[in-house]
Amino acid sequence: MQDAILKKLRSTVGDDNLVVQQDLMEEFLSGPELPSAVIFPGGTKEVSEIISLCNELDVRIGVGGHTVNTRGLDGGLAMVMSRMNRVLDIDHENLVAEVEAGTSHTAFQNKIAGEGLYFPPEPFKGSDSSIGACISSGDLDSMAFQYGPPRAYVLGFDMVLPTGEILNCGSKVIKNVSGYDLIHFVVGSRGTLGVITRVLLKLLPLPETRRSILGSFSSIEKAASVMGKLLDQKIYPARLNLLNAPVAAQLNLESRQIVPGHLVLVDLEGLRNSTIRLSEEVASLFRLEKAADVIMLDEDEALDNLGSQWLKLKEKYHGDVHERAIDFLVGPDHAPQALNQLEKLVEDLDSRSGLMVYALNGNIRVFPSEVHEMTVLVQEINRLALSLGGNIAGDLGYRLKCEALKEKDMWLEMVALTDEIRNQFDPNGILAPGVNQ
Amino acid sequence: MLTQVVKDRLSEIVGPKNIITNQGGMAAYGYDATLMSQVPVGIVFPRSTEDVSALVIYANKIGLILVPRGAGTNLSGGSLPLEGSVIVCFSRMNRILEIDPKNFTATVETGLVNFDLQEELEKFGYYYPPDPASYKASTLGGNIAECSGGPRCFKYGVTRDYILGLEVVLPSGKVIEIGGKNFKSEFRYDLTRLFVGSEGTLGFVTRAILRILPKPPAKRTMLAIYNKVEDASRSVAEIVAAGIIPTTLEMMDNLLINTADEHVGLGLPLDAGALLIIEVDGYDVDLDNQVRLIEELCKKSDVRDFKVATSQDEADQLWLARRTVIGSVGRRSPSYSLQDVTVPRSAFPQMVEAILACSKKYDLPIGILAHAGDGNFHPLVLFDERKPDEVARVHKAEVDMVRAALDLGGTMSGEHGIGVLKKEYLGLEFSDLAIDLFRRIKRSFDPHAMLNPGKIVDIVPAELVEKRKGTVDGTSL
Repeated sequence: MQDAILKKLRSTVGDDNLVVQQDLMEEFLSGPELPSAVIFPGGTKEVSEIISLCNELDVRIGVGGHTVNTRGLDGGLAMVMSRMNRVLDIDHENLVAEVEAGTSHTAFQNKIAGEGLYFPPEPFKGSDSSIGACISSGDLDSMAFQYGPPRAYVLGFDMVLPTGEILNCGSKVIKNVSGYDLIHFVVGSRGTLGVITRVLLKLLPLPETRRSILGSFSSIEKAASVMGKLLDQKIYPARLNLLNAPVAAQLNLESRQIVPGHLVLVDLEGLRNSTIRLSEEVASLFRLEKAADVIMLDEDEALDNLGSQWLKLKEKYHGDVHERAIDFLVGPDHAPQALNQLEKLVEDLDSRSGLMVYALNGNIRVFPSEVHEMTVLVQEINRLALSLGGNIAGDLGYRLKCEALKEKDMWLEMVALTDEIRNQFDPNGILAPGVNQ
Repeated sequence: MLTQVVKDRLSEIVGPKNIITNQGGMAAYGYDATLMSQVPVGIVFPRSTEDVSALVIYANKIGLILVPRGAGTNLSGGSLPLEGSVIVCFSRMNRILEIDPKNFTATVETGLVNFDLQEELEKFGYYYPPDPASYKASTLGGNIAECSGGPRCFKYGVTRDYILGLEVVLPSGKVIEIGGKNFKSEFRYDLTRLFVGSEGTLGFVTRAILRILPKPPAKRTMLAIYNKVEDASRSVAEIVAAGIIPTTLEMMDNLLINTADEHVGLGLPLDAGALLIIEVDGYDVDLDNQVRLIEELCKKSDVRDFKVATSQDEADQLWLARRTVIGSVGRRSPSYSLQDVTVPRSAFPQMVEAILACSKKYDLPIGILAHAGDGNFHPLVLFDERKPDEVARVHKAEVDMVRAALDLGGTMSGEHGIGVLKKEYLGLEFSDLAIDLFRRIKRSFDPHAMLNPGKIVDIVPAELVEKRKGTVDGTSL
């Protein structure tokens, strides 16, 4: 990058907020390529100036909350949003918060919890990441059945477009159908349509009562059938997850360690009477189904500890960090059947390979051990998912589905259409070059 | 009028029984629930996705404009035909393709009426949460096109939150599937969200995969009567602040209490300033506590009378009054205009004031109906459309209300859409940049402005203009 550009960038954000030395940049970068600089904007206007300049001079930009993926970013600019971390407003009357996109997700949740309010989506990257990352990824967590995906909590935002212009959308209303729905379309667009700098989030009151029940089972099949029975009894918890023994072994409960096995994790959040009653029904079903161990947690400290343990597990297995992950969906009803078939494809599923099931989303995530050839397994799992009316998640799943159904035209049409939309927002192709390459 | 060649080809595509080209027949499809109307040049009733695709391909070839239509209950002119356009009416495509309760999905053709789906789901103990007041007539395709809400949004959200996947015929005639039966099935972008609320301007949605939910085990319906609207709005604020999430917080003012009571005969106190219909749902063991708490909060805000429906019948009566209240104003005046302004909940009292001010300023009776929990107002402006000066005042009052809502940090449309009715006010709510982005989105899908043009935003269509001239006899476009 030319010195003249760096000089301009420096004058926009101040000397302290532009880093060009490689050793100092490393902390903020992930991935193989190397940008020319890391920049830390302090406000929407600065973001706009930076992006305008980059657009004019054809400099590529990648954005992140704390770290930036450097894919496609050789010689470009990495923008880290961590300085934009203020909670600008917590509005109790309207149940809305206004936050800057670089705000830490967990810090925000803790802050509003102190005021009796709740932002249900989990941090994108497990233990913590930014609110911007949550919206940019739009990723579904295992409580989405009860609370919906992150999009359901986005009411509006300021977004700097790839041309540097500032788009303002939405307001503190929960119903808004004015114009095309840019507010929700942008969620999950992985930073390709613009840089969100400020966001209006819908909040809920904190649930009156929480309880967690853990049951340890001797086989995956048994654990899966217990989950199926809960649904048959019309019990739909906030979270209903299965962790196989290798994954479950990493949970460190402060209360006491649970007897090792495949773990069914049930979180209940809601009104007091029903939550207590349901928790007892869950625990008795676990016992009836011969769980090796059952633990019920009802105190805040123990529940918070379990919550943070869960996020740590997610951090290890989730997001873009885990290279050997296959993420597929078959619907809640087919999950037990899918797991039976999966155990035949991944023989060490009960001992070495990792498994997480978000039962209410019908979402199965498998982390095969090194003995498995990934490309072969992906194809096999795709067939398995399709046979049960499901699919592998996301872009890969869509492509494989089109291939399997011989819908090449549809695939090409979708590529052309989504390319065109991106092009309409980012005519010079400067933003998030690592996405969709 | 369409040329005979065009008529023949359209008839070949959808079948001779599924096309109307006579004036009388066409006039019946030239209106919606607004005061506007326009007679199309033809109406076709496709039977399948293949029909729709063939229609679009043919329309492309000859430069014909197509306008989608469900049941015509639209409140913003989104389904109104344009001069020289052909209506594609989806009423024949009304099959339920699958109900899969254990995976919480239903797959339907989009001409299906919302209520007909609800009745089928009921058999499984399930329901589809979005239920706009028009749900006995309106189609799911129309609901998707407008992103309809309804009275349960405060707890359950809007149409957008219940659409998992769509099958869409693009303006090129190509058919795509977006999303799917499962979450996380989008390719690159969440196009499903873009189609929901796009008023048929980006493509024709032919199938939808809906998220359905088990019916809540129990419900309680309450009626709170107030001397003043302000007291009702204080109750709403108190209830929300207490961390209660009712499914419903519906408000009617004195005028509407009177028309509703004349219509349904509930014996409501006709001198009351306002009433709230409040509903909570969930597990039976929790609900008595909730009702007790709500009653306390209502008393704190000077409720005059507070009742809990003691039977399903009683609750149904209340809902009947609410669902028919819009039509009930017909007893007072021949015409009404229904607004859809929405403000942050905290600005509810100020919006009420602004509406009353409008009523006074323009000397028009305005009934206030509101999804109070959502800050979504449906002011009903009563007038006589045969009197041009009244019509002119109604339009002025509308603009005043839109401006008031925007000044209070709200939006001009909470659930009815922009269509043609509110297109001219778009600039009051959105920057030039946002409107330009809307145009860019429209162009990405429909560069020739073939499908429902002139709704939400206008674009200058590319290329096809010349072709259009040859399609319709004696009609200049």
